[in-house]
Amino acid sequence: MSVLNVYERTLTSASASSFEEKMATMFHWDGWESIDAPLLTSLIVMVILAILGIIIGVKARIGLKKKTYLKKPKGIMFLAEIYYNTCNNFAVSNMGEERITWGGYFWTLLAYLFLAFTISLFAFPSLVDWLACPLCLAIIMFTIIQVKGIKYSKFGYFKRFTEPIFIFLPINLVTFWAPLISTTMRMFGNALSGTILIGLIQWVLGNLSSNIFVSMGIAGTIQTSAAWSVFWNQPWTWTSIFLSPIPVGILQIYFSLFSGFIQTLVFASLSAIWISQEMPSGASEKKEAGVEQAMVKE
Amino acid sequence: MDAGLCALGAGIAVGLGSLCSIGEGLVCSHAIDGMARNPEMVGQLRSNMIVAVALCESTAIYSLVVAILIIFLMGMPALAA
Repeated sequence: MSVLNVYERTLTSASASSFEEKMATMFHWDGWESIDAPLLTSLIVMVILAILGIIIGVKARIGLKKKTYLKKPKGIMFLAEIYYNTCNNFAVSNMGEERITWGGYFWTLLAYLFLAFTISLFAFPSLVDWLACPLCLAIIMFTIIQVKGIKYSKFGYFKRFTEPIFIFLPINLVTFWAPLISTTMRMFGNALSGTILIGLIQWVLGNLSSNIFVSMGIAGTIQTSAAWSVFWNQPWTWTSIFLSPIPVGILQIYFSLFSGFIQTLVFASLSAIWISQEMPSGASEKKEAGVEQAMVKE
Repeated sequence: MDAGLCALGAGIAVGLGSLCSIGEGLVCSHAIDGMARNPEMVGQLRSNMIVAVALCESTAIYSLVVAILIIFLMGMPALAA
């Protein structure tokens, strides 16, 4: 939840061009400065995950070839196996026994989302309070829900819009979008609230610190470069950085690690519940029907 | 549009949204009741409680998003004008 980010975005939103101008310059390459910083963060997260995945895959293949996979796993393989089992158990406990293959979805989702929340601890621009990131994740989830709904309930999928009677069609069309909007806004708002709280506290503590120095008779030279005027385009001095680091660091850890972990878990369990709603547990139902038929025959 | 009215609207949105803390309190109290009655379920109850609290909190977050939209989309242009 970088504070610099908010500052830069307020600057750009103040001088935002019209929609037509944006569309005209959409496919024009303006150099690296024109790319949104969170987009680069997202790419860095993906690169980190890809490198980890390649390392684990190569190690697993070597282990398979040398027959060392029967021994106790060590190091990164140990962590990878724990993570794999956790994701599979998550899928089984939320979606049912026969959905164990959905562990792969949660593998990707949980890793990307948790790293996206925590990457701002390493001084990268914050990713989740950039609306495109939660929106894209929610669109993926929403698409999976609708595709599974059409695949499993065929024409019953379209029938649900007119239930209980036909007059409910407009209301049902509105509630149709509820999962998309609610998941997007939940993650985006959570990350943004963290950003704003941290920014406010940094601003207040910076002013307090510089006022203490002023009361002692030290004014300090005013810095107006972008790196120094951190919040609301305010000129800062070197005297204003003495109180904020520890409270801001604690808040960063809270909003990135704790809140990020909880939001990741909430997103994953909600998508698991919504997806498994669309997929009736076919295997167990067939088994029960078979048992009933067998009993009838007897 | 008056910037002061925008600030008032944002404040009312966040203030009313914070009513969701009542729901969070209900969730926590019932979860702790369950933990006291059934101590061997503590782990599962705690994780469920955290998820439910985060779900309740989302209504407050919606109001926060609305407040931010009011401030940035309506209040800032009003201040600049």
